[in-house]
Amino acid sequence: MASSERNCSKQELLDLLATSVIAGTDDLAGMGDCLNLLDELEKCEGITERDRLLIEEIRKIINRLILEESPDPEKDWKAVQEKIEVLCERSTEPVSSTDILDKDAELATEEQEALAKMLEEPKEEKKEDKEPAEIATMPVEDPELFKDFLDEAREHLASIELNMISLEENPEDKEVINAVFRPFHSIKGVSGFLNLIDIHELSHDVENLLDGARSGEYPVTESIIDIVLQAVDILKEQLDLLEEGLARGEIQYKGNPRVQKFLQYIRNFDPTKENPPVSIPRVGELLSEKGVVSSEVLNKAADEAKKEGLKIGEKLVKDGIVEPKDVAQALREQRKLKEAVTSIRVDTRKLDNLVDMIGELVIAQSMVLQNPQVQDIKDQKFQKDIVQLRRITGELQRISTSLRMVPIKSTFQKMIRLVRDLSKKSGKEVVLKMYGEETEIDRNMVDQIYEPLVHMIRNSVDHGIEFPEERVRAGKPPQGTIILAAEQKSGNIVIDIRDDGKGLDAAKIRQKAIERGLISADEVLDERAIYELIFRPGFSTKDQVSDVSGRGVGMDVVKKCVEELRGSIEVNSVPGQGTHFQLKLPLTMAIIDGMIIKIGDERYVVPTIALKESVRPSKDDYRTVQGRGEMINVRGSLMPLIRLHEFFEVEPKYRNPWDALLLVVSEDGKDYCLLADEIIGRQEVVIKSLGNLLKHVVGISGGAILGDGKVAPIVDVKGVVTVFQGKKSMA
Amino acid sequence: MSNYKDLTVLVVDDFATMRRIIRNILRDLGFQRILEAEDGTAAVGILQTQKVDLIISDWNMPKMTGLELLKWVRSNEDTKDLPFLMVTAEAQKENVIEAVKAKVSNYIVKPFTAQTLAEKLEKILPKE
Repeated sequence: MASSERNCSKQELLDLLATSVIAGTDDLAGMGDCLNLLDELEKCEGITERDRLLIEEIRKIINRLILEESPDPEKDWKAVQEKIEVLCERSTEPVSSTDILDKDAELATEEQEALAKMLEEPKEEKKEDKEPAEIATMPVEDPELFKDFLDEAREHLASIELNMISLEENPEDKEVINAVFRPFHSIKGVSGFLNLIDIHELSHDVENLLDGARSGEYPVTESIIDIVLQAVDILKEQLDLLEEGLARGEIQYKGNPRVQKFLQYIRNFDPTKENPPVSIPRVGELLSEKGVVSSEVLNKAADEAKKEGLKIGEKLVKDGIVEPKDVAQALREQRKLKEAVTSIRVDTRKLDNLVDMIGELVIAQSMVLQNPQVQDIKDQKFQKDIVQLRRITGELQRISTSLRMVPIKSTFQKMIRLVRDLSKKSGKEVVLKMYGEETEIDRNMVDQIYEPLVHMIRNSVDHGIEFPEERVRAGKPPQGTIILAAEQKSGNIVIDIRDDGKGLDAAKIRQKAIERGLISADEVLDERAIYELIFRPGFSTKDQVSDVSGRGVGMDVVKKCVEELRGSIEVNSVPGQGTHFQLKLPLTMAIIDGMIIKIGDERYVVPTIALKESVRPSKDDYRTVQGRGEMINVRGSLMPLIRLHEFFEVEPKYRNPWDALLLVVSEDGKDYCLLADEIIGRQEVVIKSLGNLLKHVVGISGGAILGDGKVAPIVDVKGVVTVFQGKKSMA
Repeated sequence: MSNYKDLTVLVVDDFATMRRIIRNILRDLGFQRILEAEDGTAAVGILQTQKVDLIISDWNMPKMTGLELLKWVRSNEDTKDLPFLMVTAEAQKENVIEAVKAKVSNYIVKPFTAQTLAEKLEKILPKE
């Protein structure tokens, strides 16, 4: 409204106010006029602090009348009239008489009482509606309306997902936040009418969360984006449930456990305690950071630039404050930063498809090149072109692998909070240091390593790091340190989790393993083998888990998770100095580094990550041990021999271990020798699912397409060892 | 309540289901001439070409919000006295104050019943 531009005269406004009429407790027009006049009056010269307080009071009472929140509308209405009178009188008669003061004070206390009453009441109401959640159903009266709602709500949810992409890129863009906010708002509104309480509450809570971000109370963080996306997923499920319900003629409208759980999560979520997202600095900020211009000068210039419609850089150059080259440099830096964070979101299925197709391309290429007729072509130009082709496909393969890689940073960053919470809860002082956060990891793995990491860090805080007093007694700083580091090393992602706590107690672990029946009391194990026992199922039990590490999962679960990702985990520990877990994960889930072996006419791929070494034993190294079967002596330690040809039921070329080749693999801290005919070579192979029929075949984890286009099974070492152990114990 | 049947009401909401809900309620109250617009801009288009007796508008809409529509209606000579009912959500009461300052006739909080709507309409429709 243009009124604020008008030259206001205090007296004029007061006259207007004095003659303004609020006809009754529901005369919104009168109240609106009054509010507008008060707004203007406040801006006038000659308004004292006391006037301002009174204006604020009147405004408050009018507001609550408008909102129908007044405890006593009639009284409030009268109070407004009286207060306006006081305001007008006071201003015309500057020397305040005691009479007015008394009236003033009286009104003020009344006002306070009413306000206090108002503040108390709604709180109690809130508690009431928190009834225990129970799934409730209702019959459908107007199915058409619900069907409309389904269609439209789904459309809206789809639009939210689209907008979330722009929101991630511009977390401060109010327009975008609004575009996400609005659909939740609409869904909330309609579900309220339809009495779909779950959907209503969920969209209501998300709307609130976004509303805070919209009004600038807190920035849009990754966690908020995560919550919104999760809310979209849950809402979609609820809509599906609703659709099923409609078909039955009876719908569940409240008490869905998933919704309840999520609601609880949102309600406990504190958006103001989140780390703000990384934002791109402004040119001015970059300049002031460099010391080219002081922040005072910058602020002044920024205001003026706005008025003149110039960009800050232009303004600074125009006024001769900075050199054009400084601005150019800042712009360049800004662009670099912008480029670094520019990204688009692509359906992972599309990416997987692309990666698959590139894999196929590489295979098709080598099939062509291995064709004898092609190999006979002696044309030099052809040879050169082939080299070029190989280079391109090689590069394509490299890029396709990197496409699905994301920095491990986001996963690591979640650990900061975890460590903070854990140290608070346990009373231990722990610092988390992180290295190599930029290391990239397969998108599909990110979520799956989260749980194992959480568990290992919990373990480190809970069982590794000592209490401050204990640490000081041991001559260590009171503050414990956990180092979380990631790096790419020889085709693997290596994640290290080190703590400087008390280390693993080998004797205790051994004792416990014996108690749990994992090893016999007379079994001879070196230190490492003892440490490996913590990964055995059944080692960790609930009585050992404190309320900090709390979840009742042991390291065996961690190991299982890691192995599902075709990775491995090792533990090392120095008593008194700390424990070191090392996770090795493949770079990608789509390709593995494999050793191609031959048994008879068949070829198999053994993941290189599972292999320790390959040996050719002499005849003397082979022996049969009573009750333990065939064993091979590899540099002094005896390892069970597993005949792969027996396992896969193929006719081998060699049956004698000393003619054949042995692959040493490690499983559950024990080494085994796998008997194969020969190693053909080492190659990166594209993993293919073998289809549903062969999915559950023990000992085979998938298929790999080799250079000549034939499929070779990928050996699942763990499965092979497990079956072997089973047979042995039966025998 | 029979006098409603001669009134043309314009329902403005970007959510079609919500328009349908409001339409159903209006029908129950006896309205027969119900126009719909999916945001403020569309509403302005209708207001410029057709005679409307009452506007019921949502607050939060893309392109042109309910408040912007209200301001347009109040600043336009032909429409400035039209009864304007703002539909708002429980959580957004601060919007109501803004709407009142911009001379909204009244507001109604979602979800509402036919009875509440009738009461509000009683308050804002000119009595003859």
